Amino acid sequence: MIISVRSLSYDELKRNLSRDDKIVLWSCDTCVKYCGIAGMEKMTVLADMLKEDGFNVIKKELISESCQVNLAKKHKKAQEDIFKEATTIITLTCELGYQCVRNVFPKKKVIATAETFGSGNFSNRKGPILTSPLPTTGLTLNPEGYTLKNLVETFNLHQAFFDADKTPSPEKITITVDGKPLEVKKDANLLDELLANRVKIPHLCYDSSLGSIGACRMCLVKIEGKRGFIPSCCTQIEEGMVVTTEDEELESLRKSVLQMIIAECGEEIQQSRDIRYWMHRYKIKENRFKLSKKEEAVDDSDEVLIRDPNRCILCGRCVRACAKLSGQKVINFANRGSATVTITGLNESFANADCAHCLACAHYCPTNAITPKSIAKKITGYPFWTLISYPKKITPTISS
Amino acid sequence: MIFSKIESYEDIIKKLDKKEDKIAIISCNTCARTCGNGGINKLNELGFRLIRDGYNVSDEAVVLYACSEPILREAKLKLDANTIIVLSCSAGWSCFTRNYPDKKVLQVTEDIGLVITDNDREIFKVVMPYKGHESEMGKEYKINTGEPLSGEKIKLRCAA
Repeated sequence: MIISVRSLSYDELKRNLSRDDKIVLWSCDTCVKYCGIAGMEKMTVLADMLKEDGFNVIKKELISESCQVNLAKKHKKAQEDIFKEATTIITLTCELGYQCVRNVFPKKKVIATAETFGSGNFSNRKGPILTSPLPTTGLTLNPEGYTLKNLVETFNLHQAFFDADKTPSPEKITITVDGKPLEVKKDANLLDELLANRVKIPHLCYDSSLGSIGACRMCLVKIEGKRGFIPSCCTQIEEGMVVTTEDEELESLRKSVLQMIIAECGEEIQQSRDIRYWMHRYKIKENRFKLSKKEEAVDDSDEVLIRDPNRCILCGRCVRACAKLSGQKVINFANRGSATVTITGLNESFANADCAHCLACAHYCPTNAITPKSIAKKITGYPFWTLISYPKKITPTISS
Repeated sequence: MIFSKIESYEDIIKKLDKKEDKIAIISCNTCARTCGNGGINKLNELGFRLIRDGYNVSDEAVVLYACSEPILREAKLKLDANTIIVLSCSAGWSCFTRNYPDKKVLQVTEDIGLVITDNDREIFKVVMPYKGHESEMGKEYKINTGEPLSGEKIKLRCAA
């Protein structure tokens, strides 16, 4: 992964802006996110700060890999009107991502916020570390790595995200959740706020980076004054709202929905971590519906990704990730009603579907229906790892 | 992305001991694959040539990122080998060096620089070169093979 550290303070950033600027925030969803200075959450914080200071933020654009010029071009094309109107783009990306944005938007004012130091690792103990520094740093190759804190101190840069401690607190209102008062952000998404306040609500199709479509019906709640059951992922918070997230009826409903999802997909789906967790939570040992015996072919034609349609619950996260984050639209829904399926390309194999391998689909899939390919094999003895594919044709390209 | 170049086969075998070394080949399936030095094809090729030449190759694996400890943990690699060849950039090599301290981890690639890519045109371009490769700045290569290309298809607007 590429290691970057924030190079601008909030005051320096503001000095580069004028009140007339129409600003787009552009964030990468890969390496810099793991360095703690990008991603949808950080972009929202920065947008709130800028708005509070009177700047005009017209769009938050999240891109799966900003160092791919082709993806940046597709984002530009998909949001043509917005980018035509925008005068300034603030990039929450590494310097490579910044270069791509400069390439695609040559006439706009593009502001970089991070400095790139080289490549490194994500360490379980230390988080992101720089192991292979660029020559401009004057540092040497170090397998133990330089932590972000080391870099911030050595190069006098900025730790964490834009003045996190000075972040304006958004307007809060009080709602009632399960009989208790809860302080939440005004106009925010109900599910987001419930999750942020550690209220456990099952959800499979929702992610704050992808938006809501209310497909899985797992996050249903009761709201006083509203008829029936309401998907919390599609609900905006209102003053005085009285919400019930747990009662016998809701539990029974969620159990049924979960059992139907499992029945539709068959046993395979029970291997998924999220599904397993909620089965355990709702004490589902046996399914009261008949399990489907879906045996669709696993698509392992691609060199990076594997797609197992038997595990797909049609939550649409991959479809939205592919369209929104990569701008590609390689994965889509086909057919209607109970015949709906997800397909790649024009119903062709993954290998022929023109995928950019940004991995957004695999990252957001809740059931591992799309996973990165990893192959391992023992050359001698019994192969204990699953051998997924092993091409027979070998063309030497390592020079002799 | 990180662009690294693999050493010649002769240079790789110079680092190996035919009698003593039990070899595992680990290949990165992200940057190294994009730059033509990793992925399934390179793994198969190197494995095939080493086995053909009488080396004791015990394990082969492709991992999504060789530079991520959470991915390594998830891969649960139980290597019988005492020597690991990592087909990745130096960051991947560093990760394996730290995580397999009792094994000899060979570095068989050299970092050239950080690159931007254009998958539609199958090009990657060096924009931040590593030490000793400053002349590579702005050069373009073909994705998946690392074959040098002439001309400039991705224009850089200014220095970062």
